[in-house]
Amino acid sequence: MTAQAFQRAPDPARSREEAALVRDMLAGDAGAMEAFADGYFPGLYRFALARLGGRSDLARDIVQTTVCKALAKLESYRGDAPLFSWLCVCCRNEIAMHFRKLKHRPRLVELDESAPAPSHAAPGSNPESPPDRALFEKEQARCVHEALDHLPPGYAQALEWKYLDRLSVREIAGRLRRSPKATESLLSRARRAFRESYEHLAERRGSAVSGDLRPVLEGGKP
Amino acid sequence: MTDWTDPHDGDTGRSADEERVRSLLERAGPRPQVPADDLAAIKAAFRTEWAEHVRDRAPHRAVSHPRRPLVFRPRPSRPLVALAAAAVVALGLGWWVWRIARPAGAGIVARIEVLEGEVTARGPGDGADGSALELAVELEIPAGSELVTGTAGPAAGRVALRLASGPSVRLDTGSRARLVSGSEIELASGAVYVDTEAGDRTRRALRIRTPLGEVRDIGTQFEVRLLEADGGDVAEALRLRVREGRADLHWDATSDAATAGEELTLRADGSLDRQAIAVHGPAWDWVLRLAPVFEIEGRTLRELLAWVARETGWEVRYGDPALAEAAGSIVLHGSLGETTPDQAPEVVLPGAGLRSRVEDGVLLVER
Repeated sequence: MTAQAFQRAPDPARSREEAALVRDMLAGDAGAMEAFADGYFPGLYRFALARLGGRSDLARDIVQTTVCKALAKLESYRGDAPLFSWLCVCCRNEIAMHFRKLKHRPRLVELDESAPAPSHAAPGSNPESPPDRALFEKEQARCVHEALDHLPPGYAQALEWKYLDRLSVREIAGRLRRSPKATESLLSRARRAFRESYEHLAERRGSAVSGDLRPVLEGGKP
Repeated sequence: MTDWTDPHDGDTGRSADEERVRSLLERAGPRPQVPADDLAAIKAAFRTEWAEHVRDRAPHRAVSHPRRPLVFRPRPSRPLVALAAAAVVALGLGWWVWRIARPAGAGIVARIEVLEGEVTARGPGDGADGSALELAVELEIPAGSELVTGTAGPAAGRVALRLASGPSVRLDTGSRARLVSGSEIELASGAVYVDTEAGDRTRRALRIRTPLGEVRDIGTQFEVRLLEADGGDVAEALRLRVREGRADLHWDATSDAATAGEELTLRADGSLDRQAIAVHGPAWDWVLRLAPVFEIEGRTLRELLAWVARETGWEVRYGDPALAEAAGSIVLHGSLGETTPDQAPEVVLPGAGLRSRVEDGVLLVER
């Protein structure tokens, strides 16, 4: 890991926002509760699903248990860690308990040993070969999606509207009930936050994901 | 009137940074949608739990506001929120003062990865009578902070940190250490374990300063422990154990080095003993317990076993060359949860039709 991964201190404004959201929710604000659910549950579900071998029934149960148990623990939440990361830690613990209860062994997938080794951190592999490229792109997509889930809900939504749905700034401003100038500013902050989130996750997963993108993110040509 | 037509519409004028973000998002496509039924079930259960929680917490308070849009923006202050905020500030004043009043330039030097039992911290500049704060996983630690791990019984505590420059640092029970900077730790009591392999190789050497001497790493795994006489609280000896690589010990105007499998014990009178030690086994169990989570999803068997070897001190050997080759292409799925590194082979290998045994510090993996 590099120092850059940690100089990304939580945005103070975001920390205050999240602490206030939790505070309001625990104080009985139904709107805050709905915002909490809408903002964090989908990402948490995807987080669990990826770690439960795609079992949606398990993911639903684990996330349900996680968020219900989190209510009591949220009493001590002060915004010192990003809320989504905090919830992921709780979720990870629930997943661990699930496996312990079942004495479950992780499922292993053995690739055809006659095929080229995947590019996934295997030295000497060929990232240009179709099977390796497909694996690489799948892992990269997962990293992008997880990076989006780690953003404040409004940021991720704005980026998807802009770059996937191809909405104009004016259209996004209308949806957010903000001025176009404020929306441009939000998009700029969202891009920066996404970049930091993506780089952080890519580093944790190893160079296989970040390898050929680092030059892109740092100004080189892809 | 300013025309706010998006200057980036029409694929002209995009900055390079924006282009990269666009490219990443387009290639990845939209995030998978959560099945509506599942989301509805989760929210329904949560609403019920939340309503009970609010009722138990404040039976006479009923607050209801229109559903908020899915946007992060400042909410208008309201008397109840202001009151709640004041209460939080009053109760958590020491915490906020620590977080806000950090000395200028006191950057973040570490992040908490694993926490066990009772571990507290005092902020930079706080005296011994400053309020100690309980820590949590993922918390970032500024330079100058002092960490204290509980000594024994239910209060016994341990903590694993990841320094900003990469090394893993772990404190055993009964330890007191100050993170002076990203490359310097003052150990006043107890023990610290350092693994520098994962760090940036261009970083400065890590120094562990103690009342008796100073240890400097040369790319290594090592433990520094201050030994006290029974019932005493003054260090009488410094013990350095090196698991991998080399570490230099400096005291007075002298220095010596220990390499992998060696232990140096420096006494207060300046005498030095050297002996061989095992790099695996019970003496390192406390380090094993603080191993950060290893996410196996999508990783190869070889990567998993490399992690096991690093944390246990075992040497990994394969039963045959073909298996050694295949280990790099066997992809794992699932989660280890809280399985410790020494348990991981037993948990993971049978699923691939493999088995393992440990003899004299060697983990042998066979079909």
